[in-house]
Amino acid sequence: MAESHVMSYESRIPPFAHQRIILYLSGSLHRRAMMNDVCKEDVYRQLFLGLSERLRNYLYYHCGDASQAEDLTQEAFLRLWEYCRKVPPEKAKAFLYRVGYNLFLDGIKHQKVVLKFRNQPAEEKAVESPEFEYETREFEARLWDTIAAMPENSRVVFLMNRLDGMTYREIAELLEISVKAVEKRMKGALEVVRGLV
Amino acid sequence: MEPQQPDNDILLRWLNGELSGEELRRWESSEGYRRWQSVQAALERGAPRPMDHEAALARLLAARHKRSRASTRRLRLIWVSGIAAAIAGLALLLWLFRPAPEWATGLAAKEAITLPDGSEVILNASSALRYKDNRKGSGREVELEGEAYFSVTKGSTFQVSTALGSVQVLGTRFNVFARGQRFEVSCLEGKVLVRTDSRQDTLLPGQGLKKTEGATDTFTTEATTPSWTNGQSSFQLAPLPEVFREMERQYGIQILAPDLAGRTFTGRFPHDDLEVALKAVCEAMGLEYTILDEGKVRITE
Repeated sequence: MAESHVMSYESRIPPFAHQRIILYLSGSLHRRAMMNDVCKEDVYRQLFLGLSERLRNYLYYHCGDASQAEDLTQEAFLRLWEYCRKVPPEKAKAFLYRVGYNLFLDGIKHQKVVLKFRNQPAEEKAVESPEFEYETREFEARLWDTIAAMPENSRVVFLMNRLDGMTYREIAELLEISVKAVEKRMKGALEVVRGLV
Repeated sequence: MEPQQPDNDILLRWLNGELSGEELRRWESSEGYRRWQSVQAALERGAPRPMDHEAALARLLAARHKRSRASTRRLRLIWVSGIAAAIAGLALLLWLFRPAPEWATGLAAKEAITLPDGSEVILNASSALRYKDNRKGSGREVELEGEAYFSVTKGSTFQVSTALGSVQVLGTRFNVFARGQRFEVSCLEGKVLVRTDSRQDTLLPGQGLKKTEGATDTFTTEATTPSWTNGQSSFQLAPLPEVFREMERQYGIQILAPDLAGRTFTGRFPHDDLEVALKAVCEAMGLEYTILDEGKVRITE
């Protein structure tokens, strides 16, 4: 009776099943150890120090408001902490950009976006001549007006490339889009800026 | 040919740092390149301010701390309200399934009870009365073990259930005795309906029904209240063992008697004097009694 029970139990389990089960368990343990990384204080801080500035810039290119961009960045990192068990460190970048952008979209519903791209004080430079100075200022003003008015997606990609020095591939990875799509958005921006040059 | 504007492809690749040496040299010597340099300069003057990482991190950690405190507060609130709800639910359950009120008397004790509907009950010694189902609104259905005298206020049907039969009335006074195999109902006022396994009888004032192991008989009584409610027990052709058992209950004693089956007693004994009670029964029946220690009485022929 007991023997036949053992027999039927053995026959149900395919060969090497035990090894597979052990592999599966150790794999899931390993995954779990990895997953908890973002929950570790030092990992989380390193992520913030490494990613926050570009994330803030990215959100700034969307909303055009420096202090709003900082708030959105902080909120995105708070969400990352909240979900630290579910977000492995290598996915943290894309998670932050996605969450930051979604938070920005949520904010839009409440208030119309007001672009304030030119509130940054321009660096004081040695004045070459009043006319040249005036021309430069005037060109700058036209350029930023153009940028504020261009399609949002093109503007963001253009400024990420121009001001944060990111390659199309880096941008594509962060925004989870293809390199082709980044290039398309760049072309859109160049078309607009060309009109000024 | 030197185009004023580079084509989009060159520009796109230049901005991504993809131009090869030759292409780059040609592009950097063009007029368009100089223009784009000034665009880049203008862009950089409008670039976002560099971030103060340490200050931003401190702000973030403060906000995180505040939020985690808020969430533990929220969690605590959920806990507290959950526990409160559980207690309230438990209280409701206890109230819904609260035990029916119950009265019981010990040996040598009687108890007068006024039921919620105004009916009065006197419970004889070693008896118990309880409501059959407390959740029913009328509350006029009781269960009895032992003996009780009922004075029921008029109203809906009042029912007394015992192990041996039930009594149904609308408003009247009656006595119910239900112990062992003996079931006895006497009607003193009004009209009562007595149901036993075998039959159904309507009793009028002065009538009684007596059911023992074998037979069911009706009898008449002249009493206006059961004598036991007035401090004595009276018997009409009652089996002698029953009489002594009643005496045991009324005095809380133990009576050691020889086999007295088949003999009956007619008469009464009081509840307040054991000597008088024993004398009343024994003299009539030609028996002797001895009061022993520890609440025991021996009866001899």
